[in-house]
Amino acid sequence: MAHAAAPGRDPDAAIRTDLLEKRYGRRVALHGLSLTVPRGSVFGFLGPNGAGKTTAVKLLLGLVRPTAGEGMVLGGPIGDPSARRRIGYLPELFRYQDWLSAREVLRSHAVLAGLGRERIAAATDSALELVGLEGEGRRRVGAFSKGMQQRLGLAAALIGEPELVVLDEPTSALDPVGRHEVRGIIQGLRDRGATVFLNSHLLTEIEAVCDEVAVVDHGRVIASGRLDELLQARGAEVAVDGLDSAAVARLGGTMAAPGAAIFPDIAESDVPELVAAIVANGGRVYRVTPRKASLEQIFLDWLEVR
Amino acid sequence: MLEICRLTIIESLRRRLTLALFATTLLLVGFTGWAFAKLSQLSSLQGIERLAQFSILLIFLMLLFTGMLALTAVFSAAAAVAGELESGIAAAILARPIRRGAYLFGKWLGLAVVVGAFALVAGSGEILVVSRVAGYAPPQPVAGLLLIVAQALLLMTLSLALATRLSAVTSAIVATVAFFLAWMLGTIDLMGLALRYPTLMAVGDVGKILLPTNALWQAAEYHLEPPALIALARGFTSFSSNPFMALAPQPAAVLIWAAIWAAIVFGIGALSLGRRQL
Repeated sequence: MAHAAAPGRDPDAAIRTDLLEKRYGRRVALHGLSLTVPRGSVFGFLGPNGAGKTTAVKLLLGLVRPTAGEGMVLGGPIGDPSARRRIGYLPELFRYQDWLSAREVLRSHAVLAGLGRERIAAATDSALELVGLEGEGRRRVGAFSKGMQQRLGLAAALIGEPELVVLDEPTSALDPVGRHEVRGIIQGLRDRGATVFLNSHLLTEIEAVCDEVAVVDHGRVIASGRLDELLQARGAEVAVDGLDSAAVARLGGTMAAPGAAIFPDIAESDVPELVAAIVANGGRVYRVTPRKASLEQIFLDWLEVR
Repeated sequence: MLEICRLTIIESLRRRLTLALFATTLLLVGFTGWAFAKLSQLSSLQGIERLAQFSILLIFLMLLFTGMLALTAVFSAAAAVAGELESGIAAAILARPIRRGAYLFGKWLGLAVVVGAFALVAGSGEILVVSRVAGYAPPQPVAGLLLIVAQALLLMTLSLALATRLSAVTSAIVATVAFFLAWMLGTIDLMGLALRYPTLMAVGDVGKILLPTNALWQAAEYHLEPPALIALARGFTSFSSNPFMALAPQPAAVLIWAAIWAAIVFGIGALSLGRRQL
């Protein structure tokens, strides 16, 4: 869960930052980011465009230098080359050498990541296969579509089985099938124990794969937590007649429409008592539907609260 | 670092820079051979006059070649660094465990191989073809060519360093302007020497310190001139201010400073890239 903490050596944390800040002149791109990403988790970093998500990623990878604060990634200070050996990164603006073949791009990334010569060919093959580019390895990147280039970027990020995979908007150029496949890849990463830091503004993507989320807006983290807790069922919608608004209000609900009452704070275990109370007050219950929070609604609520 | 060097060389091959340089070499050597063969047939000069005619013409050709080489070095270096930084290719590479200084040195090394190979192949082609068709060979062609390569590498280093902050076009233009400025200051230096005017000489010295490319050219020129011609020219004051003649070798300090200069400029480039926000 994201919370303020000193970024000491925490064996359970893949990423730990403390008041990490980035300013460009007078503009604050990221304001005091403090978060902990547990090892083995899929962490969703949410926020509207321009919120500071990419700046945070670049800070974690040492591509930009923090103005203040500090952080640890895989046990090393941010930007530490030995930690970067175990990180795979797909940039938001993915561009690879268009004069190389896909296989050559992956080979160079494998070499730069420090993979042994004997592992490079197999690692390249498996990365190409994983992203659905098998058979395209010899083609020049310049002839790839945008979606294929993003798949190639994903393969480059996954080569050598990194411990931490940082994906910045990984499906921005993909069609729905491609997006579905990326979800499968992320789940596969979690299954092998890797940590995934997923930067996205696509809520369905985050909702489908993430264990934890943090929401950033205007350079600040405005909310964070475990996704399953955030999405827990909250309240119930009851199809009812025989009760007026006052009676529904006495029971803790509101009439959303004629014949439809909302009880926002009711837990699933309290539903039988609620139904009994409605009946005792002269109402007739036709249907009780648990209200499940959508990440989209929560996200909008958070932005509104801010 | 070696991987970046390898990628830089592959890029020059795939982007057909190497092919263009090869075609240029053929054109250059072919034209030089034809022109010198004609000149050799038509010229009625003999002895020292013939020597002067061929050596001065060859030096003029080598000067033009140096200009071509300078532009090649400057533009290829600027595109190789600024191009990758601007397109985002560098961000994916530099997120890997590679130090930015090593990345820049890999680029430098790869470009040095391409530019150096072009300079040596085309430059020796020029000298060989003149020797074959006109029977004239400069006294120390290897030293002369190596100094011409060194001059190109100096400019390449400057362009590379500038490209860590500026766009490819701006870096290349600034480095090219610096090259011509150094040449102008070198000419002022020669005039100061001929007129024994200390202010002009001081301006020339400042030029040598700021960018020692022209000093390297003059050192190369000296190695390409026949000693008999140098001895003859020393008798005329007007020759000492001639930018197409070097009557004395450059002091070793100038060559050492050129190497230190390249190291300093590369260091500034590496520092600048290290601090750049990607």
